[in-house]
Amino acid sequence: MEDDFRELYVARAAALRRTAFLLCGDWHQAEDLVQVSFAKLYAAWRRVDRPEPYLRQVLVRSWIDETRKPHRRERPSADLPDGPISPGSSFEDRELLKAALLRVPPRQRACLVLRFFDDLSVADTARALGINENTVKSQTSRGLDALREIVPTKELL
Amino acid sequence: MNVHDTLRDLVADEPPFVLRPDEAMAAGRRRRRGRAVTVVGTAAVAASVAVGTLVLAAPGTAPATVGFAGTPTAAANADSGELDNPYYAVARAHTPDGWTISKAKVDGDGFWADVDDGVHGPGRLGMFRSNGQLQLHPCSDAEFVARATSCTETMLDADTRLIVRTVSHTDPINDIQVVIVHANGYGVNVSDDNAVLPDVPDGLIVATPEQKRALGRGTVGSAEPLYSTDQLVAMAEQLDATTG
Repeated sequence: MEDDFRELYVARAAALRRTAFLLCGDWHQAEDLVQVSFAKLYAAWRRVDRPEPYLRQVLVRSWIDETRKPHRRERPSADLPDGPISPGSSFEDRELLKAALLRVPPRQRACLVLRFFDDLSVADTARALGINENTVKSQTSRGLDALREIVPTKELL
Repeated sequence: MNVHDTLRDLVADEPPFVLRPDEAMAAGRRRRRGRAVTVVGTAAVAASVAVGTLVLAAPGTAPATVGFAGTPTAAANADSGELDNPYYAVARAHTPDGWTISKAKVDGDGFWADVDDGVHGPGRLGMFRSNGQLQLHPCSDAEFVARATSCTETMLDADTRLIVRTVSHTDPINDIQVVIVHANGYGVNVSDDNAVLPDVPDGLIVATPEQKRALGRGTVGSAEPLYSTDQLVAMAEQLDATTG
């Protein structure tokens, strides 16, 4: 069991941390979410048939629960630009894009990250978030709309 | 650039990641042991609740009240607050005499304390002030109202809105939120959880992996938050008036 777990950890932890970062916007918190998710997986190892979807599910739900806590509730950023921004590859543009993504409400952001970064299907995204497929579609659509408000449509989407 | 590429670009400056599978396994083992303890603890609480009453308000009715009967246990911690702290004074003023407020901590614009009624185990009281960043209509926020029985907004005057969100059951940690927000986004937030968290050492900026794991773990005490919505509303009103 431990060898299998270790193998999965080594193979997936870094990728999972990237997903977590896109959700929470902080590498340290992302690392904590990954460790917590793997710890939960280890505790439930014998009951889990498909470890990878379980890991992703635990990660996303742990993060959503975090955003509900009063001391972690997200606040609108005062640093965002009033008008659209142009994405590029520079550090400054990345920071602006990150700020734009973090402005998207948590569940919508989770849909965007799982669909477009992890390349999950609608059905797998629904399972990870514990919502139905129609809700995934509508949340994804709203998330894209929210991003479009900040990043010019033709350049981003 | 499409969404996929944009998201890839956002993680391009990824910092180094030290893999710690052994720590994850150790945490998993502790979690497994903790769950076994929690199951025993929950059964004890359930037995206690079985001889009490639990009345939750439906939307639009009187505030939630929770009544319990059982054999009181001695509160584990002595009351450790300081009366000259405005947050603590508000908490003490609306907390029954037999309850203990301990580990009171003021952090920036916020206050945390463990509260124990001596019967069901400790929960966590939180009070915060916000300078212009509170949502004006949190009941419209799906995240805020998730798994709650009701969320009501009441105008206290032309400028001031009282928001009461009853217990959100994100089991095992359940919480109540009460917010008073003014038209400019200033206001206060009072919350009560049914769990306590480990202490955060003063001045902690960089935590060791062990500290990080410990800080993330909550211990569920009572089955439900200890305070009623009435008590939390009274705290929010006094806090808003005192520290506004």
